[in-house]
This record gives sequence, structure tokens and C-alpha cells, in this order.
Amino acid sequence: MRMDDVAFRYTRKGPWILRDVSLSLPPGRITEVTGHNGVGKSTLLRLVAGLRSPRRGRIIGRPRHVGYAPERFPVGQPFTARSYLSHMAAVRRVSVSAIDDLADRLRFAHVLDVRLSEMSKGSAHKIGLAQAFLAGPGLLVLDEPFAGLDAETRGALPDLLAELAAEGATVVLSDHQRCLDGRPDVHRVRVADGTVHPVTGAEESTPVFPPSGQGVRPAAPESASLPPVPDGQAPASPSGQGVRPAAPESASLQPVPDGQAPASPSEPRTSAAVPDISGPPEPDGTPNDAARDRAGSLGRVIRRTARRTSGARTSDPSAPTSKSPAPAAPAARMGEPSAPANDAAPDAYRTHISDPPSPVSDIPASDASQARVGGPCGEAGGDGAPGLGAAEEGWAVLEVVVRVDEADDVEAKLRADGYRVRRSDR
Amino acid sequence: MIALVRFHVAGYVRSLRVLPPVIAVLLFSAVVLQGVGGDDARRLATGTFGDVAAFAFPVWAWTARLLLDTQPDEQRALSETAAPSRLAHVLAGPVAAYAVNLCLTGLLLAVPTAQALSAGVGGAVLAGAALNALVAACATVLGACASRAVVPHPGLSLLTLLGGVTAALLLSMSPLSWAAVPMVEWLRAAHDGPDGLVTAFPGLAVHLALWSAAVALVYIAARRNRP
Repeated sequence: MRMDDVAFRYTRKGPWILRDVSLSLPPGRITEVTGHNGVGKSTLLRLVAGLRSPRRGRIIGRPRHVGYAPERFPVGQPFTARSYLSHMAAVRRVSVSAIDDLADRLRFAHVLDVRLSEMSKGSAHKIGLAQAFLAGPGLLVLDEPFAGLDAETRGALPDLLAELAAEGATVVLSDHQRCLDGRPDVHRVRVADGTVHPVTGAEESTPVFPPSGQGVRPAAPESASLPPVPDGQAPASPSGQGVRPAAPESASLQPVPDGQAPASPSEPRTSAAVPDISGPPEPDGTPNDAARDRAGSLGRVIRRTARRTSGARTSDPSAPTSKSPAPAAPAARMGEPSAPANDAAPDAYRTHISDPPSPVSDIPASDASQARVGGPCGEAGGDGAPGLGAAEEGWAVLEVVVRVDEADDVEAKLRADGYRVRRSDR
Repeated sequence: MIALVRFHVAGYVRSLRVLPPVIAVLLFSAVVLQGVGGDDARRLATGTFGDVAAFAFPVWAWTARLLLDTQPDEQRALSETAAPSRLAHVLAGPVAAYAVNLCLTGLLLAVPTAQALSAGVGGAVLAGAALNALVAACATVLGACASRAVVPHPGLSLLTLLGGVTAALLLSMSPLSWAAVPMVEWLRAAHDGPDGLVTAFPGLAVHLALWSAAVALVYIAARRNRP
């Protein structure tokens, strides 16, 4: 299947949503579509699925049998899951026995006789996935398939996709949860600036940030090539995919001077896929300039609290923690990498780092647990998914406080980068 | 396509959206349709078929729109990917609506048929029933054109339905009657008596069939040409 110079807009005189999209989607390939919210990922998926027709260009070679699962399954239908899937199986001319097989694999057998309108979001999402998988489509298009799924299903779904691809199906999906990170068999493209870009090797395992420096960028890790994470330190990933090990002991949770927002803590995706876009650290262990530049402005970080559940200290225990003088090489202030170390900034720019035994020292624990960044895969929600307040072994909970006018952007970027975010309006 | 049609009908019935048209039909049968007698019993009984078709035309159009709008937009997309072809998906909705309208027609014609048979109308009963079936087809495609899949805005959709029904009926009283649903013609033929209806039926049938086909093509084009 191939898209040649495809352009699309919803109305005749409306703005172009996508332009000059040329994309090859050969059989057997899993293609992940990434990009920020509202850039046209879902529109692209609908074009691929044939639910929208391009205004310009052409799409050729689309397989006859297409499975499509929307981001939100339409639960406003007067059917139970079983009767709904039976109807869909009949439409696809598939035996109803396929429903039970999928129910076992996607773990929704217990809700087969529940009405769609009474289902939880996660269960309804599984029904949407199941109807797409019916009949073994030659083209499978999934819009945020991991959203709202429980951990077990998140873990099972990539294998299901891989099986389908191995059988020759073309799989195209969007995934803000980054549940396919680290899979070598996944081809990635990025939707940005109204078109589709191939994702380079470095980008594949790292968030992509706008050149304006407004994006969120984890600071450089201690080493661009992390040593293998010992057993017990790696976070438990429900899906087994996209494992992000805990930051190294001396990762960049460095105390910073007043007035200087820190570079974000290192949260390498995997030890093997740590991005090198931040470049090697400076000899003294601080992020280099490139890292600072890319750190961008995570809004104006006015306070950050880190809680390490592994019990390890985030940095040198003897180092000052809060409102301390600048160390030899200060981390960059967001958006102002060259700010002087002793810049007298308002309190709003101070960073607090708590030691593990007394995390979240200056905010209520309930509030601290509301913002967790760095979840393994998928947002909290769904059956059995861990909540944001319960950080697993080896994971950190950060509270990032930003200016009100920047909150939406920062939240969207963090989510786009696969972190779990819980908004707390205090 | 049969599975898609069944899916449409099942959703429509289970959602209980079918109740309003059924209640309207039952009320009409119970209250409006009175017994016929006297010297003109045969002519009155035949005329009832034309009256029923004229009354039911907007009800059938409304029913078609209700049925097609029962399915959420996202489900329409899912059905489209599951359907054997895009044309089958586009046609499944109107076919399902027509099937439901035929059932309503059966309910609606129960009393007039019994009256006509008791009055000894004979073969005109078949012509009257066929006339209603053809008018139901016209109303169905008109209702489909006012469905959300074609006119997404609810207000505009309702306006399209009301305007379409009014225009289709009023045009038949104008010089442009060839472009309209021939309501005046079928009323006149039905009230001429059994022989008049049987004589006029072939022409009416062709007119209604062509009108339905033309509007159906508009519907298909609107569905297929959407971006």
C-alpha cells in the first residue's frame, strides 16, 4: 500500500490538515504514527483506512479487508458486547467462534454479556479492538490502541500485532503511550507541520521536540551509553515493552542554584536506546550545552519534587538540596541556558529536590502523588492499571509546577512523549 | 449486505426508536381510518389506499432518517471498514429503512385492506398495496438524504427533511409535477375507483420508481463524494 503526495482538508476552503504525504506501507510492517495532539494523526489513520478520501494525491494498493479501531469506541449502541461482535462477525462473514478466541486473548470474556453502554472505557476499547481484529484484516489501523487498557492486555497486544504482521498484514497505529518502544520491528513516522516525516534512528527512541526549544527534554544522563540495569532496578513494565529503567544513581537530578530551573531528570527509555541527542555530558557530569538547549522551556518550572521509590539517592547525598548555591557547572535554566549561576530569580524558579526518605517534603502527599511522570506504558486507567500515586520500584514521581498559561502545552508534550501525567489544579 | 441491514434494523429496534413511528401508525389506523359503506363503498375503500400513502409519506421519510441516525458516526466508520464494499455499506442503511417502512406499511394497510376486501374491491387492493410500497421507497430515499451521514448538522438535517417532503408534495401541484412525487395523481386515481387506480397504476409506478432512483443516486453520490 502506498500514499503518493496525499493532501487532505475537511472542507473545500478549509486549512490543509495534511499535505505532500508520501508513505509506503508494505505488507508485514508495523508502522507507528507519532506526533503531538492535533497534528493530524487520526486524520492520517482515517485516510489510510479509507474512511476519508484525499483531496489530492492517491492511495493505492489498500488491502481489501481493513480493520479499524477508533480512539474512542462508540458505546452508545443498544447491544451487548457479544451481540455487537456477532453482528460485526456476520458483516465480515466470520464465524462467531472468532469472538471467543479474541475475548480470551484480549481478556474481555467476562464482559461479553454486558451492554456496551455500561462498559468501562477500557473494556469498551477492547471491544473496539476485537471488531478490528475479526477476520484477520490485511490492513489494521488502530488509533491509540493502548489507551485505557489494563497491563495484561497492553502486554498481549504487541504480540498480537506482531503475529498479524508476520502473517502479512499491514499494521498502522498511533500510540502516545509508547508501548512499542524498543521493538525493532516497528517502523515509525512522525506527523508534524502538516506532513509526515520518517523518524530517524535517534528520534525513534526519544521524544521529538520543536526547534523553538519549547519542548520538554530530559537532561543528559550520566552517560549516553548506560550500563545494564541490574536486576531489581529495572521498573516493572506491565507490558514488558518500552521499559524505562530507573535513572542512574548520578543522573541529572542535580541541585541547581536559585533562579535556575534544572534540566529535566534523566529518564532513559532503555539502556540500549538511550538517545544521544543530548550529547555526552561534560566532564563534571553536568549536561552539555546541547542538552541544555534542547531542554527548552518546560514551562517555568518553579518547583520539582522527585521521589525515588527505589530507595536510592538521586545524587550525591552531601550535595545541597534546596535553594543551594550553584555547583561548579550549573544546570540550565529552562529556555535560558546561559543564565548566570547566581541570577537572583524569584522563588518561582527554584527547584527543590527531596531525598528519598522524606519525599515531597513541602507538599501534601496526596498532591505529590497526583503528578507522576515516567510511567512505563500507558496512562493510568483501565482495569488494574497502576495509579499515578503508586510508583513501582525503580520509578520516580515528579511534581512539575508550571505557569498556568503553559500548563496545557507542557501536559500535552509530556503525554505525547509517553509519560504519565496527572493534572493537579491547586 | 444482508448482515449490515440486519445490524441496522436490530440497532433501530433495540434502541426503541422504532416506537414513535409505530405509535403514529397505530393512532392513524385507529382514529382516522373509519369504516366505509353505502353506494360508494368500493370507491371509498380504494381511495383510502391513496389517502394512506399521502399521510404516510412524511412518516416514512422520518422513519428512514431516524433509523439511519441511530448508528453513531464512529460506528458508521467501523461498519464501512467491515462491509464487503463501500457501495454495500452506503446502501445498507436505506435498504434497512425501507424494510422497516414496509413493515409499517403492512400495519397501516391492515384496516384499508380488510375494508376493501369486504367491499369487493378485488384486484385494486394489489395495486393500492403496490402504490404504497413505491411511495414508501420514495420517502425512504428522501429521508436518507436528510440523515446525519449526508447533512451532519442536526438543524439543517431536520430542515432538509421537512423542506424535502413539502417540496416533493407541493411540486406535484405545479407545472413541475414531473419532477415531484405524483401525490395529486395517485390521489385522483385512487378516488376514481378500483378501475381508475388499476388503469393509472403503471404510469404512477414508473414515475415513482424513476423519482426514487434519481433521489437514491443523489444520496449515493453525496455519501461517496464526501472527503
